[in-house]
Amino acid sequence: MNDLIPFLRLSIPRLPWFLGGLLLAVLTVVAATGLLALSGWFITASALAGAGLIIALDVYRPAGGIRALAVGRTVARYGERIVNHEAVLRHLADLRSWLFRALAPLDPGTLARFRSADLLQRLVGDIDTLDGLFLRVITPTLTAVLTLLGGALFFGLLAPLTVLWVVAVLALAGLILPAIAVVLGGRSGAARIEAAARVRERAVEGVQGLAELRVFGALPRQRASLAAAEQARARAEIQLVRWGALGDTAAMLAGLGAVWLALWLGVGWLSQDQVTAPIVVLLVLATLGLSEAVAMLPGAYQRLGQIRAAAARLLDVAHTRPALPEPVPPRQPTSEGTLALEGVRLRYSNDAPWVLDGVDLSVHPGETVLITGASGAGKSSLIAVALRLVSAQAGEARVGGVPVQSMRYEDLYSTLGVLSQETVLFADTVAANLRLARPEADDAALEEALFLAGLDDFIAALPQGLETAVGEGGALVSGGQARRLALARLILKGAPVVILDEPFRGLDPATIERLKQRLTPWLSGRATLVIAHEPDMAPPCTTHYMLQGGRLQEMASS
Amino acid sequence: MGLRGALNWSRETLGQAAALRIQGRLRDELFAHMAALGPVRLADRHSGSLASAVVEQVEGMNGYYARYLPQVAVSLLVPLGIFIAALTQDWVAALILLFTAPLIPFFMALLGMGAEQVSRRQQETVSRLGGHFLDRLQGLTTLRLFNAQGRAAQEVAEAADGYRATTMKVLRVAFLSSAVLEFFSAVAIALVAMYVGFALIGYLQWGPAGQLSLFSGLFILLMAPDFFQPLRQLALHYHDRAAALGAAQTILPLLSREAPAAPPSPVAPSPRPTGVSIRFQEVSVCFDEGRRTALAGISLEIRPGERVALAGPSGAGKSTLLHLLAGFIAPNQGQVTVDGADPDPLHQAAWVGQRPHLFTGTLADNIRLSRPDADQGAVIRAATEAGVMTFAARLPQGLETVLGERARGLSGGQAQRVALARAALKQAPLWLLDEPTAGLDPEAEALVLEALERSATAGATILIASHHPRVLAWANRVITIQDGCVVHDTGGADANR
Repeated sequence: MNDLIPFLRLSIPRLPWFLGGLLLAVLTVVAATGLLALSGWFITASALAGAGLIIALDVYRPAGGIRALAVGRTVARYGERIVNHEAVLRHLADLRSWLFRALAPLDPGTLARFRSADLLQRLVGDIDTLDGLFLRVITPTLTAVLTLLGGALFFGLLAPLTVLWVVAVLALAGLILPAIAVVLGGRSGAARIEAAARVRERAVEGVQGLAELRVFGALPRQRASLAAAEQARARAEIQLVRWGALGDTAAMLAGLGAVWLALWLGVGWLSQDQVTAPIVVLLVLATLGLSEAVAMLPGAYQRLGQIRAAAARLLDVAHTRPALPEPVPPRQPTSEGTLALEGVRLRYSNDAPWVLDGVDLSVHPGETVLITGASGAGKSSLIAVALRLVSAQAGEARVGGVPVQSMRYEDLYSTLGVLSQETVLFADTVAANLRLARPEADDAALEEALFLAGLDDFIAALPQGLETAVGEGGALVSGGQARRLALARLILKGAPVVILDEPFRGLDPATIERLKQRLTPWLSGRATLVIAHEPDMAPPCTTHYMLQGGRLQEMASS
Repeated sequence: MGLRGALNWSRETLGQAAALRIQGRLRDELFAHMAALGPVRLADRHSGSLASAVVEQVEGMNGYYARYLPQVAVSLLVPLGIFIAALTQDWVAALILLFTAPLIPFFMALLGMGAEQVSRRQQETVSRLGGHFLDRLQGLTTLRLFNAQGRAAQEVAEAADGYRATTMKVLRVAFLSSAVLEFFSAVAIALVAMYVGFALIGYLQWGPAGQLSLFSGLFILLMAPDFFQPLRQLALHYHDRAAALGAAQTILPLLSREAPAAPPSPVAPSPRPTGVSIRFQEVSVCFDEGRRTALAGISLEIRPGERVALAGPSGAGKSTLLHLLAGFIAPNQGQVTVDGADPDPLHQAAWVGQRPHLFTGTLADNIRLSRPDADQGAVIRAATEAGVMTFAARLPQGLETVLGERARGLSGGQAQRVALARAALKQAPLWLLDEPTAGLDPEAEALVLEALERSATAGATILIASHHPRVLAWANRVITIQDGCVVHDTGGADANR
């Protein structure tokens, strides 16, 4: 149950909604039970009056009561549904936002633990599963408790105290059956959650890797594994439905048992003249009404297994702590944009060789430093140290005179801009992708950045211009255009320290030449670090190093 | 009582079992259809939103089969039975039931008209939401590097709240319809109760009222709620029907997108490739319903075993040309033939894209994509040829290392080499490579080019889109494409004429 407590805490802001929903749910049961009971009493009393056994029967007040209860029940049920769903959906929206905020500060190394399809499942599917916690479990349980207590009080006033056995049967049914359901539903519930995550993963992977799957003939296998995941899910689901339906049926039978008990007791009292016939009918029908309050509990509790599995999956993400947390207290950059590495040594595990083995480097404003080196030489690791995406075992990176590990990420990334090796664009318009860097930038600023990135002609030729959608990951533009859009985004950001990782990857020589010309004036006032495979693939540099064996070696400047 | 319990149980489980079977079939068919459409035709939809069609929207159909359809039968038969039972006791009470019942379907139909539209909008929101979330999740580090996580979180919160708002719209309609129903059934029950009550007191003397006994009165009164119960249940499940219609309306546009004939089932590729010949005749391809021209009437002839480099500025149409041969798209005009027949990429081609997709599983699994039964020796050979072994040997589990999301842990160049190993293992007679050496250092590039050369000496035809001078030098023919036309061809003239 511990897994569910954080979610109860997260629901506190929506407490007024939940309490309102509970109140309306209780009113619904009370009105429905009252309607049945009062109608039964009225009919029996009428019959007795008709037979002359009761002298004066006021027909108007009970009839008015029946009308009020009938309307009240309908209105309360409608209100109860609306308010409870509103409460839960607001709570779920809070949870999505909460989960995303928990993910946002994680470093790439920590994020790599999760596949994004799986994260999506947690953010959408698992959170959706949690709706049952309030809608089916907590609110109905509290409703049942409150109405059964009220019922006991009411019954006690009208009949001998043995009538409480009737309520006890209902309470027991509402207690024992759900407990059994929790045990029976637990495993299938967890299995269902796990299988649902696998279905999503196979679906996302199948869509994203469609090109490879088709050409390499692996589609049938992907399809089969999707079907297998689907079948596992269906098996768990059907198991759940089976136990759930069994529980609900048992609850229905227990309710009917209570009704029979009430009837049997009532006939006994009637023969001893302890109660009148209309009251017996009232008790029997009220028992029938109250049994509705426990009827849905077993099925709901049997879903608790999957609710808990989903909750555990969410907490797994929420409890993941960034490997490199925000510093306390943070320091502000002291000097103008300078990037420096001092004696940086880095390796990814204790028995692995050093990737960086004492790197010293400084890039001042106005300088463009080029680092070349073989693949796996550690060029990307060097950038990762400067960006504080990994932490070095020895030495430190400084930006603006302050070690990166004592700066807030927000300050670090407003001083330091990077064009990553991998081009990441969002499924949005050209303008929205650029404004990621500077939300308040006007169109003129966007156009200037596009000009510097050599995309002015391309955008001008598009019918929708800046509002053209780029597609998922930039799928609707070519690889080279996507690369230059990412470059334009970096330019728009206008950070004083700039890191370019393979800036001209995938561009043709003519474009590269044009870009070099346009970028040079923009880079002139900044501290620029460029990573490239060869000098041709980088803007003109002031210093050129080769990264080899984890150390930098100065080359003749080009 | 026991019988009622057993029947109730069977109804729920059987309905669900049938629905799950239908759901499985639908999911499979939808995925198969998407697969037939291929990656290029689906590029306008986010993969998160496509996945959500396969996951959520298919599940949205469940309630219709599991609950709505069975309930339709129940709500036709049960009230009829109760009506007949009531008729045997008191025909006036039975008539009251009979005349109030038809009101219910009438009001339901009225509300149902609105429900479908609202439901469809809700499903669209769900699918957009899936795409939005996946997009942001995959770009989390980029968002962070631009200090944009706060804004992204805000957007996620807004999207989630929008989802709540549209869901509530659907629910409000559904709840309103069941409230209306409940109200009418209450009115009907009240009418019956008043009739029975006044008849028993003796205020009513006409018709059968005079003879109504307490037993009959109670019997009718207890049955009245059960007369309406199935209809009320149906109203609740009406929401399932609306949800299913909404889901169907987002799935159908996908299913109705015209797909070429499904890719044939895989046959073991020929172990000794001999290169294929390729012919483009006046081939034109346009996108966005003709607004964007990718290829404008290209004619080409490529002989078996030729190594063709496709050069030209980005966006000129090089990728489109490769997509045609990979079977992802078909030409709008003209004809593409491989060995005189339609392209059969499954049996003929190996594909290395700009951003190769690596799947859940180990490095070896990824290399084995085309031949899951390939022996360890063949996998290691392919991995060595493509330069995968140079880095895999340093990993603790070697080729059995499990890959993380988007092959995190592998550099871009390493991922590309895995893709090349995958292609090498297939031993295909046609290699299609879209910028495969971009991002590779000279050393790895040399390894890859050697791997390509080894395949080429066995006679494979190779088309490679690249600007790299080294690739251009290695190729024995360079075709330059600009604005969808061939502007320069170092080896085409003598071949064509």
